[in-house]
Amino acid sequence: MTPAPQGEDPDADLLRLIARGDTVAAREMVARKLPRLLALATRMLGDAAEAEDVAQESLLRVWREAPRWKPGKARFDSWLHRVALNLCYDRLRRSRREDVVADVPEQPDGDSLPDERLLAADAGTRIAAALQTLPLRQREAVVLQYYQELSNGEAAAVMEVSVEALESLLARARRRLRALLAEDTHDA
Amino acid sequence: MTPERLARILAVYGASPERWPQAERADALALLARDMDAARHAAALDGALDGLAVPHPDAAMVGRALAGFAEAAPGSLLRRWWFAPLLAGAGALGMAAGALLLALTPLERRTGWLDEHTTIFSAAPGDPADPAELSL
Repeated sequence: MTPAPQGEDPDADLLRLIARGDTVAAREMVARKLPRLLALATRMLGDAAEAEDVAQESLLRVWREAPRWKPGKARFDSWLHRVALNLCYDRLRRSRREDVVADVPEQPDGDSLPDERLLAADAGTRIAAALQTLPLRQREAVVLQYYQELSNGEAAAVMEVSVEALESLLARARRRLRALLAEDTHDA
Repeated sequence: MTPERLARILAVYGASPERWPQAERADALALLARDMDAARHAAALDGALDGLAVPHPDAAMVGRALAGFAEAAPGSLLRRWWFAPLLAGAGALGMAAGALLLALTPLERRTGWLDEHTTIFSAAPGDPADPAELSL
């Protein structure tokens, strides 16, 4: 990950206090990060219970890492995103829901992508199901850039790719989502 | 800014200018004013993506997160190798271990639900007895 400019990490002060055992700082860290961790994991995994496990485990890593955190390394938030994503990948591997390769060849738009999960009536359910059909790296790109609202540079840094590679993943992901949702509309 | 680059921005980042690369935003907006179809196309998918709701942490979840901090905090007796067997001990020895934990934990390190009357066997954060302490 790219190093953070000195003095610009908004979590640095909280980490120093947490390293000293400050419970008020810990409560503030939970308020700042737990909702975002839960949201990220929910969108990556599509399972509420596993998402909470990831969020809680990520915070445990924060408590353990705080005494060792050195300002000037990567931004803390970028590190935390990477921790949560790695935990998501661990769970996906265990459930054998991931593609083995980092990205799969995109199917031409003319081929059908039948998926009975997309027939659910609720729009939120449809988009959740569509997101789960994306190859993992495309899903990760959408979650980081669109939902977590990281800048393209921040998202690329978390994913350890160039901005150009991130944009390629996002373009393919959005094209695939549009195709899935359009097909769902036609089938409805 | 070219039409091809604008199309790429819309395809990659969606229709909301707040999500576009900051350095290109102004030029892209200027060009967009002359081509709204691509923006409408991107906005339709953005609307679908926005339909995905996620849960918000409740007090119980927050309590579990803070309990993890209490266990991991520097100097926590719970992390000392000789203390865990005492906690596991039954009867008077276990009670004494609980009182020792509370007495030796500096006040500023205690979670909000501990006071001088709490023992190690009291309700933890997030239990139904103490939801008000942990609202965000």
